[in-house]
Amino acid sequence: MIDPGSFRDPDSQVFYIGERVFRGLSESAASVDAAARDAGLMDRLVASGMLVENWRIDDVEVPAGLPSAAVVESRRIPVISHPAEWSFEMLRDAALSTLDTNLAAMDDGFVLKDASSFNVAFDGAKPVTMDVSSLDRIENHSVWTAYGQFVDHFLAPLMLEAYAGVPFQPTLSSSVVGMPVQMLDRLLRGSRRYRSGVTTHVRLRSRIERKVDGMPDERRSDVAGVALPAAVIEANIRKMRKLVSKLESSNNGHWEGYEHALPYAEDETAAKKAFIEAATADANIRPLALDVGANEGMFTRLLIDRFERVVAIDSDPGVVGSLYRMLEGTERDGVTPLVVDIVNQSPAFGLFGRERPSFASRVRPDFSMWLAVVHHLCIGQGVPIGKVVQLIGETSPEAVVEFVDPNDPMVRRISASRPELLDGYDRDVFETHLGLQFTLVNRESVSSTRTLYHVVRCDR
Amino acid sequence: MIEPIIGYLDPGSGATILQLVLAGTVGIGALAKLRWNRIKGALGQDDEPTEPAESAESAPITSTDTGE
Repeated sequence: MIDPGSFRDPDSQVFYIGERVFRGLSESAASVDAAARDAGLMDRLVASGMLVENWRIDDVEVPAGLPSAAVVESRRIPVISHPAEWSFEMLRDAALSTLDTNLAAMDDGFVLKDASSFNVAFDGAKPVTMDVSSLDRIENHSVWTAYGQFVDHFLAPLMLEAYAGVPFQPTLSSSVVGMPVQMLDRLLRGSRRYRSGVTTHVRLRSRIERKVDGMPDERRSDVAGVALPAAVIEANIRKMRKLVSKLESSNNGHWEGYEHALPYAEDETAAKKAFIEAATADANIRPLALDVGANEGMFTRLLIDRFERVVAIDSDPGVVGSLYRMLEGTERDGVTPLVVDIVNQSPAFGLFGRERPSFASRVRPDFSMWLAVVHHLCIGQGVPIGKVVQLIGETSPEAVVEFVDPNDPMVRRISASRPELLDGYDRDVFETHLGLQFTLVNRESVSSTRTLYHVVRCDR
Repeated sequence: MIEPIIGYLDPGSGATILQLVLAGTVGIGALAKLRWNRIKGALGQDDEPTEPAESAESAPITSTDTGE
């Protein structure tokens, strides 16, 4: 299968055979690739974790129409996420990783020819560049070619959140081009225009872009003919790195610190943990678990030893950032925190509506966990209880779900202004819907108003 | 026909000019080679003063800021 999002670079295109990931290279890309390997650069970038493991391979048939002078295989990264699903810290780390890869490449006479945020994946909680054919010889580049793309994909959304306090995720949602800097220019007015980097990268750049729109072709070709020494390009990249590394989010999450403020009794938490451990005590390590409404990951961590990968989603970018920061050591290998609203998941978008696949098609968990989520979906979001159960069934073949009774203090609080939303919100109704789709493995009351269910879909 | 100097990703004229500005003195030289007068219109007509945030680097902008 040819990757639907890999058509912009004519010299390198991605295809899949089963679970394996390949790139067909043109003659020129194959020559650059060979030079990067000969120089030891590819090995160094892989060893430092900046670039995904990759190797040349001969005995693979390249699909018709794709460049086929050489084929590179890369390790498949189990969870592919999109920039609109990252927290501020994740986008910043992806940006720094892109710049560091570029700087490391420059030491050996190479450069990254592009700087798309879609080239970066989070392998667990570690950013890694997937596009191993982004490397090019520096002599083919008279300026930092990827500068404009870097700004639109990384710097502009980071500045939006750091300087204007606006979370960038909705702006990047369904965007294949990041955030055009002209858009940011309109938002950074008043004293914000004097924040670090705004004058040059936003205001001046937007002004120049507007003027350049009306520039005759001959003048454009003059501009295309300019050349900067590699040392100057490198200095510009280092300046950019310094700017990016200082950016901090000015947006505090609504749910941040929520876990610590929860009224749960210790024995209730212990009972929940024991239930989850029993539900996941399968002898085999399974590939993927999804923790829905993970918050700061109190229960996410229980899944780490039982699954190769855990995706922890929450709709609040603040708590996702908080979980990302708190992951330590080997936790960073297995857990990917993402900003995803389970009732409004990232759709597929881009060319033909297929260039970038939907969250549901990228993340297909074997097991999902829905703790203290159902009442928020039913009462907070107005989703009927039957549809919530259907959503659980469509998400994974096995799940642990918590149901919180209507008389629970938390439920009473969120339904206080609209008590009519409690109509049909009932444990018997929930269990009836659950029984239509799932087989009950285990059920336990962890408090007077809270019950956990371990269920397996009937078709399993 | 101008040979595209850079593979598939065109950095764009605006992004290129800005890099010359960021590049400081070396960039000023490159801008001079670019027959600065022909493209100063691209940078001119500054209706608000440009903040000299990057020290000398913004000098070529303000010093030629005479409009079209």
